[in-house]
Amino acid sequence: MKSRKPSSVAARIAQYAVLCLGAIFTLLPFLWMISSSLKTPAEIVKIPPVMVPAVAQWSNYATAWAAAPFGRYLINTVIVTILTTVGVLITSVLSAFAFSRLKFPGKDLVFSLFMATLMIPGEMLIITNFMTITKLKWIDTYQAMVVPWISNVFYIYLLTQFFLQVPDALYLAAKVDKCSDLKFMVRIMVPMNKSAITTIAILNIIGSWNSFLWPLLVTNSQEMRVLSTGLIRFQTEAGTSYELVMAASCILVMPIVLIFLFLRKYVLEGVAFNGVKG
Amino acid sequence: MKITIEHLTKQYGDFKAVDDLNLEIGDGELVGLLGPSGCGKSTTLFMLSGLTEPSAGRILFGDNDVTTIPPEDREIGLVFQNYALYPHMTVLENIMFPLINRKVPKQEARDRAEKMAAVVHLEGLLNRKPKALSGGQQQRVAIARALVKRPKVLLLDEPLSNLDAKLRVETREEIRRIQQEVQITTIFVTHDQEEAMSISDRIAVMDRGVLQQYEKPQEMYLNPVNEFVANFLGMPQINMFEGEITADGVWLNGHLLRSRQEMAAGQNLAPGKYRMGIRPENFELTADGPQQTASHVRMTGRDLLVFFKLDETEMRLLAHSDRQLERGSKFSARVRPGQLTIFGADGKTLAKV
Repeated sequence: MKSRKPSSVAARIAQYAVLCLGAIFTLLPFLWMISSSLKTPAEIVKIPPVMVPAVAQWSNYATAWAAAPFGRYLINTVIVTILTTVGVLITSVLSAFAFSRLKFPGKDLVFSLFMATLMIPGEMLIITNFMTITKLKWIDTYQAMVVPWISNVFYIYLLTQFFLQVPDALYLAAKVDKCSDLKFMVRIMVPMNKSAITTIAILNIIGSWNSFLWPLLVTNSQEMRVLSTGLIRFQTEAGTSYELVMAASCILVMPIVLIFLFLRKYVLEGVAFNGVKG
Repeated sequence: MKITIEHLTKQYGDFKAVDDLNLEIGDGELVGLLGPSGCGKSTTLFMLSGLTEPSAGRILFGDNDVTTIPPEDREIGLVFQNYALYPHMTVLENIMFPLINRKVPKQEARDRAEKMAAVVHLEGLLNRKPKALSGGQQQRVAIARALVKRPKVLLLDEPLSNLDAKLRVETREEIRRIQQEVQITTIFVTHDQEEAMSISDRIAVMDRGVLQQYEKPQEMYLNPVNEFVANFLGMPQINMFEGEITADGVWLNGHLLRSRQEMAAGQNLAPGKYRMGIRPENFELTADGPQQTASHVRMTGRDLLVFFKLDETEMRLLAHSDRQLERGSKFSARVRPGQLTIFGADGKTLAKV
């Protein structure tokens, strides 16, 4: 056993100190949100602020939940998230397969055009998309929140790169084994790139769950609100009842944390799987 | 299944990868396609599999013209150089895959896959993923996957090139054993002449897209049709040099290799300069005759490889390893009768004297 040099121990301590500091800065607002959601109105405005409420006010959650139709918002958010994510996965897998495996005229040109759209800032698209949605008379519908987001050029690009790494020999072998293109995609390409596809799914779920500006623009009625827009409305309606706003925020955040914890295992599995030379 | 290849050609622009190839492969034969890289051997294999479309010519399996039949309907099993196993499937799933795609009922597919795994000695490994197998085991999975659908023809692309030396010898015997057990017409591609000679019934040597010779290994080694084949087969390589034939016999500068009296009647080669070849094992150490000096000696185990200069020409000679020869040793040697190969100006073999 080699004994560690003192300087390397000092370096370690410094490393951990920086990491701890980073963790505290990231976690503090989150912890503050949770603790505030359990405070009484008096504790919220108290100076100096208290970190841990004297008595946890669990009733805040029930009050917040009852104050606005959060159940409805939650269902809407889930519907929009599932539909956009399923849509994104289908379009990404199909286009990535086409770009990486199939031969068709104008392939490079089409791919370049796809890539070119990455240069356009998202904000610029909002106006044109809004005009299209208005013309289609889709305002205040699910399709208005879903359809513009069921394809994502960045994910297509990402997945194309992953698909390109699958050796040609596998495709040829599958062909000899009487495997059609579609079957090859479903049975070989998708399972082999599980990690990349799961990562795309997670990124898209988070993005869709947190999307705010677009649902705010294309919905009017309370029934069509999603959690993010609902929360903002609730904030204006609840006024200074910060503890209720915080409780509602906790409700909003919780599902996405659970989804991440659940899917993370698959991401790690997939990364370990792809890390081995086949 | 007998295979007939007629005037098979593959052209990429101006480049002919395979040029007017004619081959006939008998039922149950194991044929090695041998040649340096870029000689068209793999292209030929992929044309046989249907994955590459020929520019001209025909391929017949039995009496059926399969030239335009897609790979999945040709009844072939194909093993790729890197095995191309599906990494997310277990060994059993890999072997079952071709059957499932052919709509074989699951239970039957499983039975057949297990039987095939037993043939290639993979019994205990059925639930492993390919990455948990050694190179040789992966190779056997690939062979089992190719054979499970009971193809008429087995095609192997450089089946041993990804294995280490010891495993290579084992695996090539294994391929031979499986091939004979299943009784399947097999064609394999290799650039390793020893590998081709050791397991093939017949070898087809190709160079720059053109078939050079198609023959049994021993016959080809002893009687190469041209300089290329003579050079390509054999390790250590054949000694090649320019010699001269006169009325007295065969000469290398001032050194008489073969006198006219020793040459068989009818070997009336016109006097002049010729390319000639002597295999290193066809030198014989003699008690008398002109003395040579070993410039260096390499011990290979069974043999001693002796380097010496015969009138300015570097020669390699194989002697039995119990000979007391080392750097600087003096010795006499002659070419064994009938083992000096004479080539024409076009590279074709003219005679062995």
